[in-house]
Amino acid sequence: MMSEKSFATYLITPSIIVLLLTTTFPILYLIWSSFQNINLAMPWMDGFVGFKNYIEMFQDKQFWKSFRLTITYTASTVILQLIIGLGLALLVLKIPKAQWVFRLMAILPIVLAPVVVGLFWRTLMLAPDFGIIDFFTKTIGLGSFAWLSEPRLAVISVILIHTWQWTPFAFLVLLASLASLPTDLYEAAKIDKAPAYKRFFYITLPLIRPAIIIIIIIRSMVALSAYAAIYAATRGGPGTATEILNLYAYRTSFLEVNFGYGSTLAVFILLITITVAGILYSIRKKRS
Amino acid sequence: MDKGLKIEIKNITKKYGKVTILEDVNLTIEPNEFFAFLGPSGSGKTTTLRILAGLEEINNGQIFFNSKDITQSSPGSRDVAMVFQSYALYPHMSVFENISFPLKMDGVKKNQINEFVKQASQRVKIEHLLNRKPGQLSGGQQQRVALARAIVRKPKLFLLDEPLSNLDAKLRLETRVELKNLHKSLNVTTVYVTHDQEEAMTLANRIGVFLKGKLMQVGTPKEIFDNPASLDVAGFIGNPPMNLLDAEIVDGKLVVEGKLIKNYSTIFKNKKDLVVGIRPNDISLGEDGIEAKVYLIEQLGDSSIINLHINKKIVKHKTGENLTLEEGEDVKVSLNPDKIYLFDKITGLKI
Amino acid sequence: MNTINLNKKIFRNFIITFLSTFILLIWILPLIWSIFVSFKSEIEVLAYPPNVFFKPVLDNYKAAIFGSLSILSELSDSFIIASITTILTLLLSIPAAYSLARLNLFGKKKIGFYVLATQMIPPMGLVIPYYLILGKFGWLDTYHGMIIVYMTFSLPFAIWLMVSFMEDIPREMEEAAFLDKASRIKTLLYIIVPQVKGGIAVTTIFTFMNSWNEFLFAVQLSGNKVRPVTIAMYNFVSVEQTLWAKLCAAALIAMIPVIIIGLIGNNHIVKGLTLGAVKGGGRK
Repeated sequence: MMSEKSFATYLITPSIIVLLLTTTFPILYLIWSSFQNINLAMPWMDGFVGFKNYIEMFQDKQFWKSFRLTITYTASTVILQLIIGLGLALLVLKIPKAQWVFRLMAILPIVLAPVVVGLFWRTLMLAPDFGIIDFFTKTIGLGSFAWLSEPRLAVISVILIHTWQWTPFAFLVLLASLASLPTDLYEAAKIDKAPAYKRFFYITLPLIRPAIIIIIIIRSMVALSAYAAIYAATRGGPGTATEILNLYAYRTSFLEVNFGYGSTLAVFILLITITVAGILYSIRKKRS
Repeated sequence: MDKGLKIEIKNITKKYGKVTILEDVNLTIEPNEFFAFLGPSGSGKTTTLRILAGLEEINNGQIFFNSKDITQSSPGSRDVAMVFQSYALYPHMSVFENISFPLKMDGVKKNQINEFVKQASQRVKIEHLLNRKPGQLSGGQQQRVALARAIVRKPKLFLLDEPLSNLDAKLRLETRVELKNLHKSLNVTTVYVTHDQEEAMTLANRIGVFLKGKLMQVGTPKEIFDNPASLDVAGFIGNPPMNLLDAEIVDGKLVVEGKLIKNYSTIFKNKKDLVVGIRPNDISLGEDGIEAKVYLIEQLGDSSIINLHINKKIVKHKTGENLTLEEGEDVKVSLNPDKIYLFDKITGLKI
Repeated sequence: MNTINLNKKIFRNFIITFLSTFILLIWILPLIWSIFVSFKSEIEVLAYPPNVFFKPVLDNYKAAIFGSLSILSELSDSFIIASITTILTLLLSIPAAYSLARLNLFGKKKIGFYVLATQMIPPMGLVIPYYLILGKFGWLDTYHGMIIVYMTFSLPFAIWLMVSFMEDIPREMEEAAFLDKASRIKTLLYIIVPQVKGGIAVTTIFTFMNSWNEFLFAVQLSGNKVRPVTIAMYNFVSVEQTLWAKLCAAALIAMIPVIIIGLIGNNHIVKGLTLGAVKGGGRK
């Protein structure tokens, strides 16, 4: 019989080779190109430039604006998903007979392609005069809004679109987590005459904390890599009002064909992703 | 029928990191013997069984099957069959597929497979269940499927890891009898792991008592019961086990709790740090003896166990008589001088 | 006293039902409304107030399937890319996961961490180098180019999903198989793989869905010869005008596979979300 160690090595090697070639090598290439001038519009300028792109980045006003927007977008979507998801999960827990409807329907936003979600919201929901949301605001007397063409509203809109699509995720995970809580704890707490809000804060919340931390980790990672829905809804506009770092790096690389600087921005995105992941995972480790 | 398998275990040591699981185990199991590994959980008995199966690597020592060193052989090449405590039936296969799997892996021809599966399943009376999945069977039926899978390829060695522990009490007794008969008719060297003394005593030709990673004593059930070699074994065997009381020899007299038990003339005239072992039914209550207080009475129906406090230690007295004792009552305890065992408290060995 | 309590309870239940139904409606509203719109004529779409009662027409579906704006070739491209990505992902991830979950692998912790780390890479960090690298090989706008890129997010996620399913199999299964003289590879094929059917279903669903829905790589690395369906949506949205009804029809056609998978594989998806949740999660 083949030894366990060599069998294990045979089984994992193909995947590791594929991952090295398809992920690690391109990332190294990205880092290399962030120190280069690669501009298809000015190919005669190409070559090694050291930290020039990085220095440029820190002096770039649009970079700081996009960075702030990325943080706002990530933090607000994650918090909204958690609060709404938890609230709804607690509500649905009280109507056990209808749970399956919610579980089934919650899947629908999740399975849709983000680009389709962005397009649907841009047209059907938010378009002035024709969109449903606009129809409602008009009907209740608030008037018409330029949801996607007024800078401030556009930021709120893209946050709401993301929250709409992904709250079901938090809802489903929290519902599963809440449904698996031991009922005897609550019975004991009721016998001890703990009021409902105390039961929530002292029993429920600590017990579902692992699920909450996991949701925060996953949703932060996804929000940090968000692209398609915003691209479809606003393309980063109006102006650069909704241009999070992903869209800025995309514009720089593929529309302004400045790949060197675009790579630098992408390296920065990689770094904040690693940092956020590192912080969240260490919180998770401490807690467990 | 060819000669059965003789197993020799030599100086086996097993460690997980710095923790020693098994320490210097030596044992010979004779051909066609029904041998039981008896011990509490964590004593190393299951580990030893798994080492015989080839499922655990060892840090030191050798194993011989019929004088052939198989220490480094893989589980599949040892020609052993095992019934796991959890049965380990393959949940995605039918009962027939489960039983035939070892034959298929061994390259047995199809028509022969059917024949062998039929024989094995008849033997454990599950021939009507062959098309079911394990999930559709009761615990007892699953256990039989595991047995059938083990016997179907006629192994040289049959390993059973607490096979009865997941059955209810009634079924356990029935299956015990069937296992004994199965062994008689198969006549294969069998190693049986259990924490249940009664099971080991009734089933096995010989028993190996495992305690704290050591093989403490090997012998027939009667030898183990009548002649525990050490304090540890004495404190484990019997239901309830022996009472152990501190004792000393003063001027050739054995004294327990200040009371003379009997004259005792050995090489030492005076010796401290001794332990007297006495079985719960070799104690009697009377007018004279060691002072004790009744602490708790356990009724067993046909008998009762009286827990006594002697100098803050609990001593158990088992009796069939219907005593009118009350908890908290003061009594006097005497030990049957002919039925006592004497151990050295320091070495733990019998004197 | 009792009546007050009862009234309170009825009132409470009413509030709960009302609130949760309201949120449920918001979830499905865009999808429901897009179905309505997809059966309207382009003129009807622009009616104000939005019209719920109208004469349904199939023109938009005809246009999206057979017309000049047909998305059939995009559908087939997406299908080819997503299917092959899924098959390759399964072939690679199952043995890798078995190795990580169950075997005495050299450097197991480090390798597990590496796989987790590759899953965290933001797609923007990959699309730029891939554009340059694939361009050098002449692999832009090809099936194999797209499949390679899609492996970057599907493989790490699949490995972790499969690991968590394999960890649930009791150790005795393999030990029993070894004693039954099964080789290591046969143990994997006959004993382990059949017992992680559920995990394979979850992995298949997620890999296919994520590949089908992918947009960023598709928009930049595909082109005229190979074009996934998520790009086709843009046929209907141009600077001059947006063909709402046809967009809805095309989008619904494009989303039918994942909606069906989602509704049928509902339980698998929830399991994948919560399991993936434990190990690090998926991404779109």
